[in-house]
Amino acid sequence: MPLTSTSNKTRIFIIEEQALFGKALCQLLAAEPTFEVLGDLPRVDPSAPPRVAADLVVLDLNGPSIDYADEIARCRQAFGKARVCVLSTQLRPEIMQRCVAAGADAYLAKDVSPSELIRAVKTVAGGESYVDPRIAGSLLRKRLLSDGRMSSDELSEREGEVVRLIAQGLSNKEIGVRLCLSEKTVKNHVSRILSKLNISARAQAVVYAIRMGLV
Amino acid sequence: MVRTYVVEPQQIFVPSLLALLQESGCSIVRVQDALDPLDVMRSRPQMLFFDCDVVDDATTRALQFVVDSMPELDLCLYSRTPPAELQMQPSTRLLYLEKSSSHETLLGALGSFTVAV
Repeated sequence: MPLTSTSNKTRIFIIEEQALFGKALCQLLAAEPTFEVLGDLPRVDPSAPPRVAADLVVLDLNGPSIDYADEIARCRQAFGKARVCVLSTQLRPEIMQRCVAAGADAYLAKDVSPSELIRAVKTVAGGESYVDPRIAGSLLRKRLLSDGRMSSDELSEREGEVVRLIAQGLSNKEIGVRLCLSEKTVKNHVSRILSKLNISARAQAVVYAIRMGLV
Repeated sequence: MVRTYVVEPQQIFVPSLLALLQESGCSIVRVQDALDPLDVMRSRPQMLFFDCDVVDDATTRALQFVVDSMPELDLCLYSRTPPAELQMQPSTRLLYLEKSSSHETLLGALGSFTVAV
């Protein structure tokens, strides 16, 4: 793995746990004249970051149990201002939203074609964002179907719990006791829920919870 | 050479994978990005290489159908996590390859497996 860059090309570093896939990514991107692949690692280790000045990191994120926001934060910590292009086997729009909210500049499914990956990396390197069209399309359809309101799976797990407890008639203080949170934290959750659902009152959240089968 | 049918949705990875399989003693009869049970049966492979990280219930049922229909078929599952999550009952000989494994490890495991086919 080289430790320094010697050109003005887009300098790319690859984080990919799947060893052979990582090598395939290196080969594909290195063949593009405007890219320079600096190296690859199976995972991000902020305590021992690679000594490279990458412009862009291709970050493999997978698995049901990982904290996407945390992994992206670790990547940002290790690579500074490099733009982050997430590759994932997850096609769920809510996962994409979580990654973008955490600072990812692009989100692509791992079955992306080589030409689309190169197009996405060029787009992101140019300062824009990129989301796999299949996922963006799915999200758009969900939004249209829900009349501009977000669906329950776009609330975080904690927000879903809070909605359920609101629907059971609990006050913020009682919800805090139930979830071992401060009343202020619960209040913040409620504000975010109202904002995400584009509603203004707890009563509407109750209606929403019933409609979505959360209670 | 072991006649191998490959199901691999990650297009970027296919050339590297085919090179690995051929180096391990496989001849490739077909490469598909999704599992089509009838096409597998028509192709009459000795081994099915299956990337099972992007799998829904329908695919699991399709894979079970293939396994049940072709008891002589050897199965090579390529995954990030153990195949228990697939919740299927392989009646065939099964090789599990972990995605984080190095090229050498994969080559060794595949080589040993295909020698016995």
